[in-house]
Amino acid sequence: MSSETARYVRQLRAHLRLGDELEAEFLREIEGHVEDRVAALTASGVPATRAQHLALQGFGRPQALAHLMRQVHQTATWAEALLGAVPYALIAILLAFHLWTLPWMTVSVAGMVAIVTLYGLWLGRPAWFYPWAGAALMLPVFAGYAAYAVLDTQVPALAAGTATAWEKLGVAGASLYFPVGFVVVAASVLVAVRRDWLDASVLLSPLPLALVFVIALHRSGGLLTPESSLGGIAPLLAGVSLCAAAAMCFFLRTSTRSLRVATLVVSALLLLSTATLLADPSGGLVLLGSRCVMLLAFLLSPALVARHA
Amino acid sequence: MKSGYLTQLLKGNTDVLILSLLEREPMYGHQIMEELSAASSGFFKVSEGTLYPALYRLAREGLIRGRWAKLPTGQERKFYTLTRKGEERLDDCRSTWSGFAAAMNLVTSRGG
Repeated sequence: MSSETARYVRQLRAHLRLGDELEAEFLREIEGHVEDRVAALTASGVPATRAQHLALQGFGRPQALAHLMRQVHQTATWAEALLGAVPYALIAILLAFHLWTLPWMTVSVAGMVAIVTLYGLWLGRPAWFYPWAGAALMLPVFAGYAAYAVLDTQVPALAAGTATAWEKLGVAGASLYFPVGFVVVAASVLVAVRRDWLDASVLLSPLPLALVFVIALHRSGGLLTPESSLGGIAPLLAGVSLCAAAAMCFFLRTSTRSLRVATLVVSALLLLSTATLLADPSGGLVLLGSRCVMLLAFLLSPALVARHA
Repeated sequence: MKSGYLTQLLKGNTDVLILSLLEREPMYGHQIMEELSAASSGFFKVSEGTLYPALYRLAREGLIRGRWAKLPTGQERKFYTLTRKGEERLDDCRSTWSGFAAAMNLVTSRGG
């Protein structure tokens, strides 16, 4: 491979962000094509250096070609878009019909989310993967609440010196969970950012919903005596999840990047505002505004990470 | 004006041209470009920057399938073949094109 081709391939690779396997295959194909084109041009009498230049000229700027290739792979088919919306729809069903209180149901859904996420990972992170991975990341948040519940009940016994060995072990495990959970979430975001920060934002987008659920659960009796309607907030969260499913479907079908960013941000802000106003009408505009700013900072934080990575 | 009109026409029909070529035999990227030019007596020239995104889009839609195979020279190239879905799409496009071309001729022909 000539140095000009090597430079082009290097620049193309830097902008592709399609995933290792797909990138390697595409670049291999491009290199083969350049070989063929150079051979054809030199056979017709074009000098070798000029032939190299002409062969690469047809591909256009590496940034432009990478953009076109990304558009091909980022725009989901209808089937993929609907599959990407399924995690939010599942959450809506669990909440609307109070199915989340049935342990076998929540375990089955959690298992399904984990399996589909791993399958998506195996396929090389297709367009529908990130909403599922985001739903999978809700699991560490729920586990974090369980760890908090353990600390809440066992720490007083530990402080009083009456804790058993098992209780001490529980406190140690629960304390360790938080840094481990944080590392899992941060590592997932960093991996997603390497391809595209917008993927990482999609990954993070279900987490505010999980946080609202956990807070509502805590206020309505906690893990051991939960109230199935979550103090009346469950139907509201179900509605928000259903709207988020529709927004995700639209997001995945959209090929224009600015429209994708707008869909993600506007839908999150609208849903948060509606949920806050309905669930906590006495909160006031200042509280609503500060929550919106926090949500915006949270969702767009991967862009900042990508800039400094 | 002429080149702009042709560019627009070509842009809208690149997929059909690729599918039509692959109906004849499996081909790889460079071969598709050469065959397209040869089959149209040099009229159609698709750049690499248009061809590869189109090939990957068609593959993603399940209309064509790519497989690596060796050339007689020992070099490996990715050969694309038409799928059953691709054949059906091509048939649809052909009948739409015949209707479109016939209607265009009726309207644009002089002294009809």
